[in-house]
Amino acid sequence: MDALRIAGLRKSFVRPAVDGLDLTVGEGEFFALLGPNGAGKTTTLRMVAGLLKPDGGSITVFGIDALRDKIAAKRLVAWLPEEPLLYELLTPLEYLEFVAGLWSVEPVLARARAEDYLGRLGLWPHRNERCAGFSRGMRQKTVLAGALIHDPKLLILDEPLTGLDAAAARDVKDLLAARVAAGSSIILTTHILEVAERLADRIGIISQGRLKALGSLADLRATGGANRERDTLEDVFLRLVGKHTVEAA
Amino acid sequence: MSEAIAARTTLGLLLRHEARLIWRGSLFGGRHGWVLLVGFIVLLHGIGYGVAIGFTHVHLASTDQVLGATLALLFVGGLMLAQAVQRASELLDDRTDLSWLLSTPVPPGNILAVRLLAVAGGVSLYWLLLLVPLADGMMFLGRPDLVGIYPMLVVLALLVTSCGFAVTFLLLRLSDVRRTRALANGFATLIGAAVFLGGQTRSLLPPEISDRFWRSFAPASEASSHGPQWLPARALMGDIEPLAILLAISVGAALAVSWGLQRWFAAGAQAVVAGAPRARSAAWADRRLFRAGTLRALLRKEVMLLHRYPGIAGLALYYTIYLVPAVVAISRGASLHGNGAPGARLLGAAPVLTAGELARLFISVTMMGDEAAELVRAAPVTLGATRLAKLAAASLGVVSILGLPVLGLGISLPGAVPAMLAGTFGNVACNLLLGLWRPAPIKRTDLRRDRRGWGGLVNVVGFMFSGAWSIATWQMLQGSFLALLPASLAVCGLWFCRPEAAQGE
Repeated sequence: MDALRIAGLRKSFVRPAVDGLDLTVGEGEFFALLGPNGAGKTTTLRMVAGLLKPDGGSITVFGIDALRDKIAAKRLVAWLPEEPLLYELLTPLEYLEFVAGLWSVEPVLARARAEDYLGRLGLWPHRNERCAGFSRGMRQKTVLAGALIHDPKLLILDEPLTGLDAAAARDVKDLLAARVAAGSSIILTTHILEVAERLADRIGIISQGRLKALGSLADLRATGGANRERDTLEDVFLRLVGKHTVEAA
Repeated sequence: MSEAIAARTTLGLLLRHEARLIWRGSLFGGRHGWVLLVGFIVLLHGIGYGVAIGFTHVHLASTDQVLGATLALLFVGGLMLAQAVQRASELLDDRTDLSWLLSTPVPPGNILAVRLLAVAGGVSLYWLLLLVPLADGMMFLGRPDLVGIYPMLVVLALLVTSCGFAVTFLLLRLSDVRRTRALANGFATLIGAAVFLGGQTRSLLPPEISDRFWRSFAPASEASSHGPQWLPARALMGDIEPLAILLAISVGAALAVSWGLQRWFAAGAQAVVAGAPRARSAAWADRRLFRAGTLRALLRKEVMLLHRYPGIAGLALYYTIYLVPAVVAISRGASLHGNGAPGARLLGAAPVLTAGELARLFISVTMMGDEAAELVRAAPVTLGATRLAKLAAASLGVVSILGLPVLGLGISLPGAVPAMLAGTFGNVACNLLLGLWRPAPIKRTDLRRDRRGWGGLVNVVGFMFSGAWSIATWQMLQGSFLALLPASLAVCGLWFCRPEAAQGE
């Protein structure tokens, strides 16, 4: 079964942000959604997370119509926005308790997972400090622990590595790789193309709300024709969306 | 350029920058702001001249005039001090450009001096707008000596703002940012309440005792009214020498605070940026966490955020402390008239008013203070459950503050209980729903987050609901069916306050 199936998705604000997007993400797949600023990546992810109502099209999460049965779809999904959504007045442990409560995670299991994730992400010594004093990396890791605590089958990550130092970024990448190995699906947007190149099974490139290319890195290289097998993802990306589009955005 | 010239240049630049920000953020900062300001001043002067005509028939002995001017300055100064303390405590974390400014080569003393002048300007502006039209009227009608009101208000604002900053930074030095804000809010509220109580002495005490009390402070003779304690009054009445002395004192105080406390100011700003994490006892914290239930998790989060909201204690105190002198004044008024019944009825209506005000405050805090509302929206939780948790947390806040006083009132006035409960329930429900649909801005920064565009108007509407339900309770206690009229008006008013989406459904 597909983890996510998007068909003919449309959303306009002043101008079309997402314009007839079709996309499928398989179960246990690590999918990277790339595009220049303003391409419609975040809008797409927000519609999948149930935060924005599409103007048209359909979204199916593990066979559940996410537009009709929102609550059932949300049970399977975790959404990690670019700007960490964190309560500064709560401690990481209180935050995780709250998130676990929202997804009705059994308390004993939630506590065990909270201890596990906070330990793995190096936050255990800070578990009873209020998040107000946390660095950007600590906030991001706390929010990631929150996203994982209900064991989501589909993880939506919008720029999860922004602002993280090398060690923190490695922690997060290891954790994400472990999730995929355990059978979860991940959709990730990032401007750090090296991350997508190394982690993603498939890559989708969108520009102006439309899918420009889709496939593995090898597939994308092949779109450039012969003698392109040494191209980096950056070369492919710039060729597909156009250097000037990126700069203008 | 020498360092002294550079310092003067940056001071001027910062002052201009601050003035521009204040002007553009004010009611008059729009496209036709000057026209609005001139119209406003003309209107105030019309009212001021009207009031001044009423005062022309009042002739007081010079010692009484000195006492009156001193009491007026104490009243205005007290309220200015309350405002200054509150604004000084907000200053550190309400303006996001502070840490950036402190990273520039501008000396912290200059930044502090400009902020102090801005707060003093804001604090004096309100009273200038209120009192200057009256002073102009009095001057026009034969009291040119009252020209001293202009400079005296500015001098007073500078002096009390310097004191307010000194108090706030001392608190910051002794505790942390969060406690400083709570203490500063509480301190400001207590000053306000003391000033309010001082102004209510004729209601609280028999008039002859009240008059004797105040006259005991008056100068014994014309000659003794030249003592140092009467300097402010004489400055207000146009005496140049005392005005010059007070001006020197206030400028000296402002300079002393700006230069003397600049290190505390910079340290305070850094503490805000650092966030000053507070660790709790791990065993205690861990034991209470992770229990089942979505609604319980939502409610617990709302209660924790409400309880930990900076300055919530001061805000709650501000909304309730005025109940105490009001109750005393009402009780006293009732006993003076030899009939306890009217007083008892008014007494029963008083907690209804406070309950509604508190309910609106708490629900607005849960709405405006929610930094991660989208997290809940992305969770498998219905909007109804989220709202229910916010309403329940705000109601719990009201009960925790007013539960005991209302219980005490119920025991002493058992016949008033049904009407009191009905009025309180109606008012709390109206204000909770109003706050849920149109959250009132709690801090100045909330105005930027207020996308529904009602701003401070919500508080005016909410206070009208509270007033209507208090009148309804008063009528219920009299056994009158007229109680239905204000209650219906409040409910109809609430109906029109629904969000546009709900109105369209």
